[in-house]
Amino acid sequence: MDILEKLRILTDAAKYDVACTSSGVNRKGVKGKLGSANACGICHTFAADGRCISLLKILMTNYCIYDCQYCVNRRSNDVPRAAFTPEEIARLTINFYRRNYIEGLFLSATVIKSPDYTMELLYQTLKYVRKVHHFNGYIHVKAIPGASQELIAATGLLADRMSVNIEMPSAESLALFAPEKTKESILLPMKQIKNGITRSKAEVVRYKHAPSFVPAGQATQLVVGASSDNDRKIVELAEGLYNTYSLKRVFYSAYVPVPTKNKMLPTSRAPLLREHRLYQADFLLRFYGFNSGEIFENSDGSLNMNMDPKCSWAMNNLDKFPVEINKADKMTLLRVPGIGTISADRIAAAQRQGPISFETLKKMGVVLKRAQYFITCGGRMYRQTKLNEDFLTMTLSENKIDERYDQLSLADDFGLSLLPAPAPNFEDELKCLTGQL
Amino acid sequence: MPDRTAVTAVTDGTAEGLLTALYMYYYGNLRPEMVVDGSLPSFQQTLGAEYVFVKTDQISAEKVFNAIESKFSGQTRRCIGLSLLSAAEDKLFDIFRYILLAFKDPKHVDDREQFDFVIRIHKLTRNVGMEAHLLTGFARFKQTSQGVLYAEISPKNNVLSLVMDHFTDRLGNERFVIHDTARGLAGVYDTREYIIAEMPKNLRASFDEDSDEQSWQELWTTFYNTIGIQERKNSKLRRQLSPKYFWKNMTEHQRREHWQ
Repeated sequence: MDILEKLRILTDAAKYDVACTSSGVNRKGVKGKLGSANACGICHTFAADGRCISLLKILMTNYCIYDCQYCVNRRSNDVPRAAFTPEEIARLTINFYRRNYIEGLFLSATVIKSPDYTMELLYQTLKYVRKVHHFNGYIHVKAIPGASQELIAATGLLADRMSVNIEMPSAESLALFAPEKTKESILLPMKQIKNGITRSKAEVVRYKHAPSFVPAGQATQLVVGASSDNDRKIVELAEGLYNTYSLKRVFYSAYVPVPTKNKMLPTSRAPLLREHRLYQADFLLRFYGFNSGEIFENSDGSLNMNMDPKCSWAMNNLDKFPVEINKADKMTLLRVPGIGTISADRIAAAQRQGPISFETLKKMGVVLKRAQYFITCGGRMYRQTKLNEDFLTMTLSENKIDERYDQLSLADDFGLSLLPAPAPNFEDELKCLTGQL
Repeated sequence: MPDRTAVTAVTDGTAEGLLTALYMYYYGNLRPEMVVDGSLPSFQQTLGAEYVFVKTDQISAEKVFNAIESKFSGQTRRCIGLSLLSAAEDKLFDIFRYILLAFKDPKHVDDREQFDFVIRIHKLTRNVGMEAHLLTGFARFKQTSQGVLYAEISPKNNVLSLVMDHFTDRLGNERFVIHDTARGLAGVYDTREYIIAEMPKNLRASFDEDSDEQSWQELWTTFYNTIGIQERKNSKLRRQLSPKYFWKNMTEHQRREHWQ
């Protein structure tokens, strides 16, 4: 099989993995080596589905001993199979990188023979790319659940980011759709990686040249809509992962049906709007100081499809509004619908320089479309409106543009260009504009 | 208050020209109501206005430059540097006022968004910085048989130097040329340092494509076409994130066989 055909098969097999960011680590170029890394991440192109392409995202092989029902690569599925050699991967990476097609390599694999065997294969490949071809760019690699701790530790020293995909948001759905995997087998490597990162950070403080272990942190992915798990369960899981395992990102992927005989899997794809809402909730957790309890206050466990989670929260807490722009601190500002992290920072900075009017807000680029109902400037509201729940529900509801959302929702996946950035420095601003966060 | 007509300062469009105008503000009693770039084709004088032609003076410019270097924060200096690269023709007076304010209040100038020109400078900075950042991803090199990597870009703002800074770090061991076809400039890097010089439009003709180049382009295009999920096609989003004016220099969009 020629390399073109292999690339086609093993790219096709990897495309459902949503994580393709190249952010989180700054590394200067080194004499004698190829490449550098940029903490804000760089998108090299955008695929026809609007997703950022920054890494050469491929599977090492798609021969698999497992039979996870939601996965295209499961052993019972009749798809063409192929396997790359480390040499082929290295040549692709180096040649793509020199032409500036990519920011680095995202190497994943299905489980071939055994978890240890697969992990060893990934390790050997990374070692080859790093040590023989002196590649200094970004590498994201999968940790295989069930592989030995030593292998994961050794691989982590060669990679910038590692991830273990959880896929199914609960132990029950795992048992149902991925019988060979258990919650414990997935969480164990995550814990190992977390401990590795903590240890490495401590060592780097003491010894300047201590090797860094997974400097860009770890991530995971959840499939949404394949199992019956509701939004609350998913967001709570994400919250737990951020808090307990210090994950950098949790990615959500609306289920796209794969050919299967399993009657329990849905035959239609999950709505992209749901994925969009989950990303919004995820951002509330990470950058807006919310917790899952607040997001699901007075809720049946699914996110409101008509308005974003912050709006919904505000509707449940109208007594906390309106907020006076000239007095509110940053955390309060962040809870106002329509005010994001960039705007909150700008307002906080402008507060120190003089009174802020609605005119100033507009000039600063704060979007008043939603915020106007929840704020006052110098004691005045933008228009004479009451904080009335029915009125606000009607005004802020998005359901009239439901269809459009089906198109737009992927924006949240990677093109967060329209959403605010977490911190005021330029890199973060860029990160956000380019969706690399 | 004595009658006086509005004075327009006309510079030669260079950074030094603007710095000289600033020097004249502090030491020559120049109080312009407008600062324009006299080298632009769109520049023309109107009746009733008073024009002061600023003769660029390296020594004055350097004095102002040194003051900026020693007094301003990194962020402020970055804003000045990047907005000077902007393609906006009316940028000079905003930069002029921004620098004046920065000398008055070097610590807080960037927080003072009550002033329109501060907002404007921040906008220009973002715009230029963003374009340079996008090009660090969207620029495409071709392997030439001369052993040099060659890329063409045609940015709206004059971001070549920023792009060169990025690639000299990343591809430090490679010789490469980045050709800004919109301005007829090229950055040339020889593994030690780079220069930016004027180059003819047909610079490309002086290079031959390496024999393997086409097959790598084909591999890349195949990857590009395969990685997208067909069920989630979203052309509008793609266009928003990678505007079409970049596409003419992007390999995957030039070798068209992909599903739309």
